[in-house]
Amino acid sequence: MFTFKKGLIFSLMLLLILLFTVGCSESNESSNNQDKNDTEAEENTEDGDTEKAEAKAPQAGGEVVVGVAGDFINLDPILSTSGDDYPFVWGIYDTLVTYNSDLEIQPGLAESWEFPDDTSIVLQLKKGVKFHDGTDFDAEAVKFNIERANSEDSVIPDLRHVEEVEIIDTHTVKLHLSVPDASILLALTERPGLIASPAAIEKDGEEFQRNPVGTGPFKFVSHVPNGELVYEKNEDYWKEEEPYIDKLIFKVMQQETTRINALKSGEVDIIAGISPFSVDSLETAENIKLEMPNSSHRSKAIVFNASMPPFDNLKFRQAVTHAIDRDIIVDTLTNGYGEPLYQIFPNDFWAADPDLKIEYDPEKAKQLLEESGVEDPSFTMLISQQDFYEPMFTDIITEQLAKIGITVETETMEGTAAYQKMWAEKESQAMSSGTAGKPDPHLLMEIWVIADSFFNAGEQTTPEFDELIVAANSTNDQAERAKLYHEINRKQALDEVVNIIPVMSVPIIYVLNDKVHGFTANGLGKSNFNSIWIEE
Amino acid sequence: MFTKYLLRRLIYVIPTLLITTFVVFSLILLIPGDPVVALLGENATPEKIAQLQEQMGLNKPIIIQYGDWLLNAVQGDLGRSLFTGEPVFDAVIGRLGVTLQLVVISTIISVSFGMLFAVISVYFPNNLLDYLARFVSIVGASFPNFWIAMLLVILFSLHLGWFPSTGFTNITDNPGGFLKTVMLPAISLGAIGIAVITRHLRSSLLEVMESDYVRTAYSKGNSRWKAIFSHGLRNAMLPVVTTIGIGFGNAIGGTVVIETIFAIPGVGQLAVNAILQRDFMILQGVILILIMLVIIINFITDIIYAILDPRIEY
Repeated sequence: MFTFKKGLIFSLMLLLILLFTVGCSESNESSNNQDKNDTEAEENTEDGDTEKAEAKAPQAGGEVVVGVAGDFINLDPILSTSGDDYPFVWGIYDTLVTYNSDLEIQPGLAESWEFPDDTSIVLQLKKGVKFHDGTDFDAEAVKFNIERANSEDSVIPDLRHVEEVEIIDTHTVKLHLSVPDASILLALTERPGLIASPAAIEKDGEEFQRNPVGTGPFKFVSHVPNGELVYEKNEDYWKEEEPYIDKLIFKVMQQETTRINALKSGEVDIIAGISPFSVDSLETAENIKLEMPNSSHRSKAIVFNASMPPFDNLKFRQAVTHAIDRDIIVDTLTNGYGEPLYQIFPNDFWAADPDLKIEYDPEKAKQLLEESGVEDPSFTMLISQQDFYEPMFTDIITEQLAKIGITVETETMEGTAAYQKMWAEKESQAMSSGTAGKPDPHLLMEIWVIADSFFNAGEQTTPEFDELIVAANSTNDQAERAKLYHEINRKQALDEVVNIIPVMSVPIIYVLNDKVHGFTANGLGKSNFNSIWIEE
Repeated sequence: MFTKYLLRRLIYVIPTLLITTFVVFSLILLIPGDPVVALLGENATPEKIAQLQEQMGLNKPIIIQYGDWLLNAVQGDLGRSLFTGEPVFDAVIGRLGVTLQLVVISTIISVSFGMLFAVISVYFPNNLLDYLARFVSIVGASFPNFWIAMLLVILFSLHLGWFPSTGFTNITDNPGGFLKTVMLPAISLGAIGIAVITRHLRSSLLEVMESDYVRTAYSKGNSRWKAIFSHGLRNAMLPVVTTIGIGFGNAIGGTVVIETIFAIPGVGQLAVNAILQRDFMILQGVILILIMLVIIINFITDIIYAILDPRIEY
């Protein structure tokens, strides 16, 4: 029975809750604003701070806990299929060559390399390096690993032009290529160049993936799937000082909020996969710093199937790309941390054409659309549920295209399902997709642009475009390659509009505890924690 | 009698298991998104997809695939994860311990607080304490557990720093650490249970307090506390035991969300990942073992029934 007295008390309580909630949210807001000003001031001095800190000598010892969004797919180099596996594998294995945070090539297990002719690469290997199981790293190990990467069991496609691995002496190998392929050296900075212990693979067989052995700075200790991965220091690592820390632990925290809370409460030291709008709330926390690469190779783009109308029409594709106001999208979605993208490479990458810019021009777009002769222009765009930038990204695109008279229907699906529909079944006209970067431009072409690549659903190309791509990969002269890639980019993004309409670069953001030093983010978002150290 | 009942229940279990595992198996293979495509990611090519499908037997009709799975499962082999190659049984059992610890603690919290609030409510009818108890139970039932979880994290780990916001320590590794890590997720998970048990037990208790034997207890000179505790509660608990049993099952379901928020590597997280990756081997294992768990809980509920009320026979 609901008497007057009861009702009164109940309403009073409700009022109390309301007041409490409102009070809380208000105080939050005001403190946010205040802190934002504070951190802006801080940010200005941050660079100076970091340099000061870096100038300190690295300290040995301690452990670092990294909060990551997902577990790895596989720690066996030939079975790993996700770019998100790299942060986990870098610690266990060294690669033959490597790249720094600006993606410039650096020696790894190969001290030096040369190209005697167009179709061979000679690698001089480092001496005195041992695998975690005590066996020697030598030319035999390199031959074993490259042949394994090219075997039936492997999912690595990048070394298929390596016909033979010739052992010149114990620490020199010569790769014989079937055709000139400039991408191979940089491919060896990633999965194809990870060197695993042949003895351990022969001993463990299928179990190797659960007990990986390499030459890297850390040894595998234990793994709880979707829980944590523990590495310990490799005391015999060939780099005299590294690794500095005794233990490296990854903890899987799917939710961004969970990662942020864990960092704030000191349970983890570094978190990855932070969205641009969380940065504001994070900057209010004490003892926390941001780390971002100079430019991001990750992007948001519209991918289409050029074998289906209306995308089989060049003028239509050009109309779409001119109808997109990239600046507004970047401003709205990236909180100032992203950049508009006019080609598939970030604007300051060596293969990108700095002069290539696609103007937002609705009038031109309308005219192109009219010239295209497409009647009743419309298409359906797939969206992945797991995409952080959705559905806002597609909403803005839909609105911008509506302005020139193109109707976009959207279809939201779970990630794997969308992926399958777009690329395996080739049953969708377009998809709002993310793209990840590769160290060599040709490796990106292989995935997204060439006619028989998996992600080119419409197998779209022209003979001239094909020739350009082959030519750009046939010389090792970077200046000459850059020139050819400029031409390719212009065709890809503007003259032909092949497969992808680049829209914006996606910021790669790490947040670290102040006591963590020596971490630099690279533009591929493949975090490397090998040189990290902790200030006590 | 009880053994006969046990046998009858066991026989029912078999078709239940067959039907549920077959439905789950078909559903995950019928929803769009091929495990091979998920597995290959950026390295997918039409040839690799075909090759892997062949290797994993995914190109066979679903009924044949299910048959293969069943044949192995009957022999105790639940197969291996499509992604990690980890044996399914190990994967599920490894996480089940974590989830069970969490669910047991959350059930203990729901039952003890639920009983406390219900008794307070009945002992002080229409008093402020009664309203407070009923208010808490409304809050527990109305607010989703993930929201309660976030509030708890903000208050107890970010502001006060009493409990960690993520992770899990096994009770066998470190009981102190276990209590610290389990507390916030267990409260978030148990909040709805507190609410349900309070409301259920309160009304059941009110009803029992009107009955003849309680009046007899009063007339023998028993105090109200004694009447509630010694005479009322035991009888009033009977219907609530069912609620607790159901609540336990619900809590296992709730771990899917709570484990994700607190980054606890339990069965819930395992299941979510298995669905996203289309790892139906793992998912089958999870479902199979959870069904068995629910069946066991139902048994336990029935046994508790018999203990509480000796008149019940099976």
